[in-house]
Amino acid sequence: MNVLEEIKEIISEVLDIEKGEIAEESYLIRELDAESVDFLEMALSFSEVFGFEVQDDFIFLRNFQEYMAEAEENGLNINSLLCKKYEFLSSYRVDEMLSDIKSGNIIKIKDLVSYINFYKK
Amino acid sequence: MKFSGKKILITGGSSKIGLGLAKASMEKGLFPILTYRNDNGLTKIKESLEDEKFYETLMLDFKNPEVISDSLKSFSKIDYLVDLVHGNMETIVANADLDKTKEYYEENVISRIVLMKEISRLMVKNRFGRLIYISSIAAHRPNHGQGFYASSKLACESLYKSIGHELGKKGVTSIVLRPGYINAGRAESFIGKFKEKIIKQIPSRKILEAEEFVNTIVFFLSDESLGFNATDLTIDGGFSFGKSF
Repeated sequence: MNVLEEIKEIISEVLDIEKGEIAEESYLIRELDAESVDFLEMALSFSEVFGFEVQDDFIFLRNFQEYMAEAEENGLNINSLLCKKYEFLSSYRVDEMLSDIKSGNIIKIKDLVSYINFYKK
Repeated sequence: MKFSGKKILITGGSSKIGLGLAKASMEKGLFPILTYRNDNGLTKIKESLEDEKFYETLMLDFKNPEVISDSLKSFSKIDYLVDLVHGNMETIVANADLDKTKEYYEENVISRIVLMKEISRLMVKNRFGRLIYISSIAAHRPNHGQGFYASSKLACESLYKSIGHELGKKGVTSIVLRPGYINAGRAESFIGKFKEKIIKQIPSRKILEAEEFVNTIVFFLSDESLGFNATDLTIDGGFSFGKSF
């Protein structure tokens, strides 16, 4: 099973929803209604399945808005700073997120896939 | 009584209540893991449980929060936690020594946060867990000199209740028990000296024996008690309700 399918499998179990309801472009919070306690369970399962310790703070972009503020305060380029902090995200994806952030939480299933693919040994 | 889990971690495993709980839980088919912090504690456990086979011991030193996670690494499943251990610090607030105070909170609050975090993560992974924190009525009615003890107990109470609130949907629940006078541990010699005086202040006229409290804990481990979550319960014969005079 590839990473996307494994992730869908875990999320469907954690959120108790059908695997078919989860797509690469699905928003984890906005559409799938995940809560912080679900993130904890997902991170534990990802760590077990993919064989390395998944960092909750990074994979779920917990400090995303703080980094945005940090860049603004220090007159830095927001995209560059976020790409540095979240090495697993492409510059294109970060731009997409920045233009989308006013509508709500930005994490999509594909971001989890990027994280796992980036750090998986 | 039914029990959804099997493995029960008991902190303060060499105490009278810890040992009593180990025996009572084994009778119910559970598997206790008793923690100790020095050789004396381990010897006490081994002597007290010499006829028993189905238990484990674990060295867990609350004085060193950094090593608590490592000490728990070998466990992939713990279904119950009964947290009995709590240090004492008796001094009036105006006399507090800053270094000792920091040390006290590190040992009794910070270390416990590490313990709670590790255990509750294991429980979420297994979609079941029950945490019982043994507090004290002193948490909300401290005597002079018990301010630090009470405040650290209240901090832990709140954290335990939060776990049950936050992780309830993952099958992890918690309860805080606040016993009054129990004929065990630090209170034993005090009760020995002032028994008559104490009894007069307890509406039910009864000081709880360790064995009775152990049975109460066993009930709160059982599936029948799982509706009690993220809450505290006082077990003091009515001592802390109403005015004494």
